[in-house]
Amino acid sequence: MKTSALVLPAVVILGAFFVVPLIWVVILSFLGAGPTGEVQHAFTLGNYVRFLTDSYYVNDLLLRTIRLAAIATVFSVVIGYLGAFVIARAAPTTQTWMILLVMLPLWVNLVVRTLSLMVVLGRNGPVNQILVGLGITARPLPLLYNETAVVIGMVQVAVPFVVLSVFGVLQAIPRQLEQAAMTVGATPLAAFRRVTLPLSVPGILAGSVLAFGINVESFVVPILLGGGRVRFMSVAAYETATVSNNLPFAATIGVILLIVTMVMLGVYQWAVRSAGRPATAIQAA
Amino acid sequence: MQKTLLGSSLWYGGAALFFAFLLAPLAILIVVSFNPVAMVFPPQGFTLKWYATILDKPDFLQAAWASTILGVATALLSTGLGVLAAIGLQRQRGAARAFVSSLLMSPLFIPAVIVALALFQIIFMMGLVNTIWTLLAAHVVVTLPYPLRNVMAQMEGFDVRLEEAALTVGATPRQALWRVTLPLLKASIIPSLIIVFVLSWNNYTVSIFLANKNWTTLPLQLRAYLQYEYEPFVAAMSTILIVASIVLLLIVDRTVGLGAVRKRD
Repeated sequence: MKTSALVLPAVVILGAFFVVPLIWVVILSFLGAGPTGEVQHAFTLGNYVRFLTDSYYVNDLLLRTIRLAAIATVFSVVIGYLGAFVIARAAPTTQTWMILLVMLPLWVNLVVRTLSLMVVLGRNGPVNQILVGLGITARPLPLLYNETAVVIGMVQVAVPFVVLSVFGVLQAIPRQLEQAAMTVGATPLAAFRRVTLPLSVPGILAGSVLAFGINVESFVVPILLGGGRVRFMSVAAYETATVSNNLPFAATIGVILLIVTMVMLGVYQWAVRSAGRPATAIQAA
Repeated sequence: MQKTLLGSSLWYGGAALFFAFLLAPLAILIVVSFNPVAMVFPPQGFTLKWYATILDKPDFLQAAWASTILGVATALLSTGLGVLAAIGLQRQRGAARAFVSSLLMSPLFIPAVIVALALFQIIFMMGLVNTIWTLLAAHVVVTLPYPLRNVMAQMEGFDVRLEEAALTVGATPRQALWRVTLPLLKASIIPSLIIVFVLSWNNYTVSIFLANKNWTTLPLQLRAYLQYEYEPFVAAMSTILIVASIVLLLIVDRTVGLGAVRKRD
């Protein structure tokens, strides 16, 4: 028995249900669609021209998806880093429980988690009750069904991933480095800023790329928390394919989303390479 | 930094805020499920009636059943393919191995919505209808990287001589696989089965494209219901799902440890 043949079933399944469909989507995005949605078998750039020349698709769809995903990523990284830092400095037994609590939301259905935010952010929800009760605002704020709600939802989803990426890196940094910096006169804050933070850059980068990758393809969060008002690429691809039945244009939206993801991964690779150098310099020093 | 009173209260306050941000919404949703009146917190009373109404909703029971079947089938298939592929790749070196393993890991980096869209379009254009089989295939494809990575990671520290020893003392390759290799891999196979089940059970983006009336999964059913009804029944249903997730998480933590199942890290 030749063991290398054991890889074949996985390759065949992946080829048939992943590689071939992906190639097909790219091809389809260059085909036209008739008035009732039937696919016309002739090469055209029309779908891309239509997407890129319509300010609705460029601004309200593509750029909004990227912008909101990026904003949510920044918040996720800041909150996730603080969480990871707290966990990394906790006693070992507490640490185990904290990690368990961070992982818990990842195991809960996303529709359920989004629903919980609908209750929290609703007109009569706890957040508005607190805001009104404290006199910060006279009337309940519209926290739901807008861009803010979608960003809050995406941050909620992405934070556990950031925590886990950063925590792994923080744990690998010897505490003695920070202590050494303080011995030679650095304040705790300076020691963090000059030693721990730069050394944890790989974790921050990995966390950012995960968070952005998850956010940019968000589906459940914008449909539930955006209430149909906040359009997202994935949702638009779904609606174009199933409601409008315009398969080539849905494919175009999908391919553009794919390009965004690929560019992001490219930027990440570049950032890892250029951030790798100062970090190794510190380690060597 | 933790020495001063101000410093330590900032520290614990920050930790409390962080975990509240992460988990308070779920806790609030659980409390709301006992509210007899409406989806409002704090509750205006206490009732268990919403839990009882679940039994009157055949749609939800059917969806839960569909999700369970799909989750179990996906877990078995995806983990099976992952284990076979990992064993197959074990002896390989060089460019072929790198190419095949990155091919098999690539669903991690491609938005799942595109995979689902692609399959949907092929089925649609061929004039076919969605069946459990395409749904299953799509779930397998998007989950395959997890078992593959878990098993490959465990194989890094794996002594191939054990398998060779079995062969030397007269075991057939098949016996060596079943009696030596697979038992050794148990520590990565079991968490892989659970993690794939959870990923499939929770999946929304792939299922929305490929499900049909007979195979509406629980997340789709929950979302469909939310479009028309907004009552504590959905909170009760959610509470059951949250508790189930906690139980699964604790089982994994107590048996194999959570280090083995981190998603996408």
